[in-house]
Amino acid sequence: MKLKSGKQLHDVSPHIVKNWSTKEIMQDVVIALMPAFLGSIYFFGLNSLILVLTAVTSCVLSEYIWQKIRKEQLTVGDWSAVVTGILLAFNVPSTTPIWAVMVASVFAIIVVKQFFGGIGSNFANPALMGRALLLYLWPAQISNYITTNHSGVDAVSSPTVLGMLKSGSEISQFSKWDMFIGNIPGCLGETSALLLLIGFAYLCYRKVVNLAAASSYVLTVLLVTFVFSKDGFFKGDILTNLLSGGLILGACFMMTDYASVAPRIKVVLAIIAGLITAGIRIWGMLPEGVSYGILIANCLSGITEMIIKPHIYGVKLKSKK
Amino acid sequence: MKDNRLKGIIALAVVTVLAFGIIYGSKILVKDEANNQKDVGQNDENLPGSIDVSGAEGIVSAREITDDAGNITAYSVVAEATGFATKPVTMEVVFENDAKTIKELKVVSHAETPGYGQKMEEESFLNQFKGISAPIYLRGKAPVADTSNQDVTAPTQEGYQDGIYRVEADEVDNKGYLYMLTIKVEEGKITSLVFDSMNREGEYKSYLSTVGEYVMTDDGPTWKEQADALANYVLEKQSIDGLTVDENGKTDVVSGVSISINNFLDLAKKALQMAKTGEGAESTGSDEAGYVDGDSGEVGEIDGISGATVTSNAIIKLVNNAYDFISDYAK
Amino acid sequence: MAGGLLVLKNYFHGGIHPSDGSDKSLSNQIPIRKFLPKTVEISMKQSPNSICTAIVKEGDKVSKGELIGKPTGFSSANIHASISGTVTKVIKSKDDKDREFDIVVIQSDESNTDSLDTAGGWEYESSLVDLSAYTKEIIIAKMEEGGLVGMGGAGFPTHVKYQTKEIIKYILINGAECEPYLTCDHTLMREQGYAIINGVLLFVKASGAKKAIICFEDNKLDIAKDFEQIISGKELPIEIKVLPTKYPQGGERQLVEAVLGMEVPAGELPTSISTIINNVGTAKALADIVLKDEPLISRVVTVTGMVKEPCNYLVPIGTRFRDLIDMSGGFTSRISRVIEGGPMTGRSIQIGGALDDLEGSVAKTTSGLLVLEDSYKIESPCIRCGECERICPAGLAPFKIDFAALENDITLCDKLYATECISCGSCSYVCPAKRELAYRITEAKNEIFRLRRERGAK
Repeated sequence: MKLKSGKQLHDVSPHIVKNWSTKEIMQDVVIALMPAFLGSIYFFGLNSLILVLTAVTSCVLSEYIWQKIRKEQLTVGDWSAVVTGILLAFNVPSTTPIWAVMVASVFAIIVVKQFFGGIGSNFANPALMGRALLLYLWPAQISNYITTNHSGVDAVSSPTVLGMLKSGSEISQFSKWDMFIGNIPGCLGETSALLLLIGFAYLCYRKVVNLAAASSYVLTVLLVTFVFSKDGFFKGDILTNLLSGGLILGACFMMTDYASVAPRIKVVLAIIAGLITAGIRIWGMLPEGVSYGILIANCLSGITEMIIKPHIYGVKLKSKK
Repeated sequence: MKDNRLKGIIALAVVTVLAFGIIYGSKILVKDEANNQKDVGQNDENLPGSIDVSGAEGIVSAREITDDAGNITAYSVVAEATGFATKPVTMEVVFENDAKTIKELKVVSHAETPGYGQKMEEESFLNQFKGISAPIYLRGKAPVADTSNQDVTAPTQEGYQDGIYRVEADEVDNKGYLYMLTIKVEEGKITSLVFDSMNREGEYKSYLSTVGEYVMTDDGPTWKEQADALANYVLEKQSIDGLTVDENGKTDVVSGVSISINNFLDLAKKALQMAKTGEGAESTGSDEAGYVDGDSGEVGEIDGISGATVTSNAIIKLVNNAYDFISDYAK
Repeated sequence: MAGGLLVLKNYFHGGIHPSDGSDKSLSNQIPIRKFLPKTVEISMKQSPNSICTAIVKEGDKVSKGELIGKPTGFSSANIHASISGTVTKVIKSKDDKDREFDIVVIQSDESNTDSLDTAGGWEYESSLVDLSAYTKEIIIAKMEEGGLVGMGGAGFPTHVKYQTKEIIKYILINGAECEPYLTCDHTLMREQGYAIINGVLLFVKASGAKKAIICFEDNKLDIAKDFEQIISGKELPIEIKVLPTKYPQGGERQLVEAVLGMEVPAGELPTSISTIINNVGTAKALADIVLKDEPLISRVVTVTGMVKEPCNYLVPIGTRFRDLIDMSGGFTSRISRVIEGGPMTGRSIQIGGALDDLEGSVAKTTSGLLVLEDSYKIESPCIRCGECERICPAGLAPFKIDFAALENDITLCDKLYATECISCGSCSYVCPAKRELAYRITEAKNEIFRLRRERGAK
């Protein structure tokens, strides 16, 4: 018994479709990332531009070459590789060597995405996995954060805000306003809450993104770090946690990334990721837990889906049919 | 969907431009504020008696404090010096009208480490300064004056003078470590030498290198082992003569030591020098203010903040700068 | 099952908004036009699963309302001649499942001039009449005699529905008409309010229900006023319920969920929760059968889309599609796709052909004839955006069933409850990758049922 192949199906119902496409969705994400992209150039100099372009080109080429070699349907035109490239570059500091970004891009696209079946079938967010790879293989090369508005010869290295908090240093030279507009050391795209939120607002307006998942992630992290902070119960520094460490970047653009979060249980996974991120920030050795929190939640999506069953109309799940 | 998108993009572009305006604007505002602070002393007409501080290094503002009749009763000088943090320590020093005796010391702002430099805000620390005469020194570091309740200044025995001599580098190095060296002299001989380095978190290189958190090479001797080797050399030779170094500060005189030993040598030289004359030997710890009254022996000594030498030095520096400035002015 | 009468829930889970109203306003601004063609082609297959046998042959003279087809099983109903005339042909035809059936072609004689006279001609069309003479048994018998079937889509014989052994508490009269472009029910309710209410009262009597609830979407608020006027002050067992406009509100199960706050158990009929659902058109047809003695031989059809003059037509069953489009001025699209039904669930009957080659005729369940500009969809890989799952009215995960269907894994499809799919098409509508989800899921569902029947037959 064979079902019709998917080739000439265009004369079946429904005969009208919603006027959007994968490409449009991905383009919207790219547009939403533009303010933060311009911000990264402003704060960290020309290196940002070079790194982002390298990442995007590497991702697009990897996907194209892979699909050509495997004689698969070319999906490069749906701009999803562009999004992966930009997000990958946003997750590393501006002093990252170009070759590192290229390697991460190739890994993210070919291994994490295409090996597992291409778009929609990857088990984890490719950009975050690319960064995880870099952290594992070349940690020193991608940990040289520099202060903003200094680049090239002038570069002054500095730990990130959360890094300083973790080691007990005073962070009062970074005002909350600095953290909001992005005037702090950090990865390319994670510093400016203001510019990221502007882009996110655009995505919400276009109804492309799951606001519930992003906000539950942020709220969980803030709540847990507030309650269980180093200084004692209920003394956590909410604003600092909110505005630093790539939390807003992760919540707005990684948590809401389609393939990485199974659709029905998005909010549950966001809460799990939030718990892990908060846990790493409070009790772990690393100052920043966004990447690992989201990646672990990605991996748990299968189990969570099995545990939390959907409700089908007319079917009572308790009784066996 | 399409014109919905166009509207969205236009709105996004407009808001982004506004945001950049805000970002750029706040950068300018911050610069202005910093500039204004310098000017506030001379331009502020609300503060009567303001003194022009332009050109005076480390002086933020100064003013005369007068009574109703117009007589000067005190001077207030706000001075700053860089301590541990990149943002300087700023304090207000109020001098009596003799422009020498400190009436009181107030903290204006600082970014020093909590638990260490922050101790400058404690009453017990600030009270030390009340009534003290400028210039001030850290206890035991005052230049030798005629009367002092500290140890003898002239050597009383051959070789080294008994006592514990502690020296610290004047500045933190560019990796955030402050080098320090302590020697103990008993019966004329150096019986122990400790060379170490502390970072801003209060962690010592000796500890960090032993637990594997400060690593220079994978299979060479740890930093602590090398510091111990240097110490043993001095204990053996009872001096640092013979410790020759090349232009990179490396020596082949002590086996197992491959780090640059310039900072060790500097501190050891100072400590041994102090030990020869006996100056600066540590007393067994008095926490009272080095409070010397009267016109003679006007040595103002205060106890620095333990564990925060750099911060303490900064405070000393700014108070003395303020004194220099105001005593010049009052002439 | 608790009464839960008219719970304030008022909505169903999932659903989409494919219409902004402009499609409907093409045809709902003008009154229904009567159209009496010279030729009708009445198919013996009036609905997807029912075939009748013709009892007339070429050359026979038939009069309007005469029985010309007899049912073969319990899912088919009587078929009657919709115009008077001569049987010129009996065409032998086959459907896509290779089942044979006849199409009876009748050429009219001149006595049909005003046989579609409505509105004002009969008492029940302008006032509520006394129905005490009609008992439950009489009404059901007349349903069967008159060949009454569900005119909202499935075409199931209504008399079989009402012969259920279950106790019936509610009759839901479905005036939702949630498909874009279609307005036949709307205009019918607007022009034939009394007839419909009379028919509804007959349904209540035929079922012994406590009350009937007439439901429609809030894009038809003008009807609410009319109906309220008709039933006010008369102590009738009728209630009016206005529901939010959302597709597919008109689906049986969604209607029950929104109006009664209950769910029809999977695999069961609404009668298992004491409810029967009927289309408004069926209610009016019942009134015609009982109060005018006229079997089901005509209906309102919306002819709309890319035609010159979109409009609703009251036509005899068997009216040829090409005549209808001709009446509307012909195609205005370059490459036309002619759809029988609505854009979400309708079947395309011709793509890119000429009007003269258009085949097919109005059946009892034909609600509309829609002409759209033909367009191509190219499928791309699923990005797991989750939209299809979010809007599925049955609570399924269409993308998962799609993957399983492409792997030919029918067991997995069954586990994913593909049998609960109502084939509304919302998933395909909303998919950004333009995947044909609804089609494949429906195929999988049919395959599962077929396998179950085979296994059951053994």
